[in-house]
Amino acid sequence: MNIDREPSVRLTIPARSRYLRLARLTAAGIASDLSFSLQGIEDLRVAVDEACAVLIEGCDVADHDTHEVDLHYCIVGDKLLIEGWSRCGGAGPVDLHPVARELLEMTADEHEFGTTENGRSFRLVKHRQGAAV
Amino acid sequence: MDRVGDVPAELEDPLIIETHVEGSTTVLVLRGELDPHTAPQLRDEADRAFASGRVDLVLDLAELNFIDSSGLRVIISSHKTASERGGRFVLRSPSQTARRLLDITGLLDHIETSG
Repeated sequence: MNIDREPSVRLTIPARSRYLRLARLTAAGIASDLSFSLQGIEDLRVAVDEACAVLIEGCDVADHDTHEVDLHYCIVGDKLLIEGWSRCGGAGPVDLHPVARELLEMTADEHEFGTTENGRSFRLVKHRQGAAV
Repeated sequence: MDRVGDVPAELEDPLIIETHVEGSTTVLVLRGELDPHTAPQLRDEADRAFASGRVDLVLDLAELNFIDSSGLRVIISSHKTASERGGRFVLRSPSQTARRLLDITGLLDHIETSG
């Protein structure tokens, strides 16, 4: 994943579900600056939450204190590209729950998951649609 | 939830659940966010309600400002438990955010809502 193409915001959170709200808040703040519609911002909050939850789920609970998730929020034209990686010493393949899959398909314009030697990764794209309300 | 002079929304408890008992019905009023961190809270409260012998459960979602698949899954399982026990399960006044996700996942077609 190339992360140096546009101005970006970088966020590192512990791989714990309680920090998901920080990932959502950051996404909403950036999308608001980009004049995303309220619906677009709400969709983005859900998509980022679901994607980050997949990364956190893949981490070994016993070592959560040292496990982290890195997030890069990149503005590319009129879209927001969000990439994430977990660092938890490895994780199994992604097996999305059907409800999570449905929400991601409905709220993100593009999404994909992968695995790395340290954990899981995702790439998420949300286009700006309509004017801000 | 904007409240001048109060704690910023970002620093509030992520989820507050108030429990009210109305006859055979337990009403759980949810305020905040329902995600993988807070969904177990709701599951525990619902389990407690069913364990008390009350079979009807109402979830008031008017002030639920975020929900994801983990929250929807607790709603689905609670609905299933209530149905299995012959009880009534109702989603009361879902917020716009909650209603949209309930709609796109088709749950509005299967779960009773009011308000």
